[in-house]
Amino acid sequence: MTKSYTGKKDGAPNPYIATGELIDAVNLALDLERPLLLEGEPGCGKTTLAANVAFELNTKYRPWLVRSSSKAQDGLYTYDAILRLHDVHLDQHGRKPDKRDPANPRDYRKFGPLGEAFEADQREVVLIDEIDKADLDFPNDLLAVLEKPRTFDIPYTGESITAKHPPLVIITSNKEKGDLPAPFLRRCVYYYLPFPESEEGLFRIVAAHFPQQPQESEVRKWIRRFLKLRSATTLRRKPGTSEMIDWFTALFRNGKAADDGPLPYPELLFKVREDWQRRNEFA
Amino acid sequence: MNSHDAAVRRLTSLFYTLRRRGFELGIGELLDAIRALELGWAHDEPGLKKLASLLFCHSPEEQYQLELLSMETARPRTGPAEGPGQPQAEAQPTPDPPVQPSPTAGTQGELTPIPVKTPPAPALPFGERPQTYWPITQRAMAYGWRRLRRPVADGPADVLDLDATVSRAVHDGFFLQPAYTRRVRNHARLTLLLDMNGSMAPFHSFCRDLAATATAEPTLEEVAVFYFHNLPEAFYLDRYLTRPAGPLLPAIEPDTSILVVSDAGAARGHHRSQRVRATNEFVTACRRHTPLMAWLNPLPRERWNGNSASAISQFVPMRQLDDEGFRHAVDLLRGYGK
Repeated sequence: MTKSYTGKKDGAPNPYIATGELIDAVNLALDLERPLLLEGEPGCGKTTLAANVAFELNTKYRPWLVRSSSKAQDGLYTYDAILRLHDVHLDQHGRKPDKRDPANPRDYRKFGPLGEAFEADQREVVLIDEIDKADLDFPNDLLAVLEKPRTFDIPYTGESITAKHPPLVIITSNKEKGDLPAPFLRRCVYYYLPFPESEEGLFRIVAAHFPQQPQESEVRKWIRRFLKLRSATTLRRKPGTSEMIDWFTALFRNGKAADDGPLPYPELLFKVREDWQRRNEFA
Repeated sequence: MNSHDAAVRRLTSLFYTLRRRGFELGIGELLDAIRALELGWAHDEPGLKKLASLLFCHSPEEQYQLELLSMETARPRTGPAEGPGQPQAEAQPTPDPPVQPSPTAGTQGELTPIPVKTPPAPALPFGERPQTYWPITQRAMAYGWRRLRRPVADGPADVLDLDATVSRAVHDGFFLQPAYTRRVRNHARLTLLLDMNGSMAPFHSFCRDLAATATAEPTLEEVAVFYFHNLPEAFYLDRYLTRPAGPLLPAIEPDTSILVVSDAGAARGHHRSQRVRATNEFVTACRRHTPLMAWLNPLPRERWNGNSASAISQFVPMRQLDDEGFRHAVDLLRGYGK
């Protein structure tokens, strides 16, 4: 086995508390060289995991934020034909474009996050964030590069790129547009990231993010109120871990003492109008 | 038998069981799971379960099914013969789905409920096996809707047309600006007409799935669902047929596909000319607005003979409701086939 992930390395810029199961899932994906598909509630740490894994494996982290107009090819390379045409034109008028040579098509192709990771000399971590935002065919177009032979061609330059070290690909999805295609799912290691519903789990997260926190009992009181809010059945949208961290940042910055009054900083917890209007009921 | 072989057998048996339950798994998943074992994955029962959950399941629902399955198999089969800590890895080489304990087994020691035995299923013709509880799964529906596309290039003009750009530059002798084409968008609209109550009652949950998957499909430009009872004359907005819908036809455009789901009288097996006539009138009226129309009949084709369904299938393309029929129906809704 190569380097494996333990989730225990200190000093990460973004601390991350990974459960044993999640660590197993990451290591399985590393060993089998399969992409890891993470699903779960928004704001429960799907995206931040990738950076933490990269930090621990001491390798580069390459995020690829998918948009509705993203194409699978964007992650591999982009080719700026217009710029080349423009440079040719400049050339004809006696002006040389600096750093680029229109005769060399390679000056006009740029690798995307996956392409960069394929070219790298070590195993890197690529995050394909919110894959469900893109077109339906997007995941299927990625199949050939996510598993063997992990190769793609660039017709403009005649290059054929093969991964030197298969990158660890972490994919997040919110199922915004329904299920991902079955052939794609088949090839992924799947993990559903649950929200850490226990007081202990949340306390560890808060403690990791705020090392100079005030009294533990204070923090626990706030966590209990947060959990109570999440368990309210009438709440339309439950706040996730990222909202909780924002909320605690606000609490600690202003030195708010735990009390039983209305929830402070409701702006950070309620993101739906219906919840907002009834925010005092959840206190 | 060493622990590795036992673990591999256990995984294989689990793999086949899950496949039989409709999980979409290929042999690659099994080989990878075995490779994980060779790379040092835990060989005990919880370890195997975790491995199966990571590699064989792709949604929380599937993980839950696996959980149920392992609870079923964890029930003691036959009391003796197994050491205390040993996982029950005595899966047979030809794995069977976890069957209920046979009447002779599992009744030692404590009292257990008397196993209920269902009557033997009728023999199926070779090659046919019951796959799921539904004639067609939700996933198959979602896939079907995805194929319902009427692409029209009328989006924002932001797709670079390289050939046009180069040829324009060549033609003009200088490069002024790139040429763009419009982005392609899906203009498929769908109107679902669902027959409710009466003979359609057994298929209500299917109709609900159909409506839910269609409305959830983001590629469709517009989805409208209407309900009716027996005759497609009066339509309602809810499936309890309480809120009448206005006239249907004005909203039907040439891009709209109409899918009717009804047994067309095949369940009761009568021929009622009133039903045929009324349906014919409705279909003719729809055809003036759109040629894209199909009919799904939840009863198999053999049951249409000699009743209203066979008469109606003469003037509307009717398909029976299974994977293939649904695919055909979607093709018809796209304007292919007849």
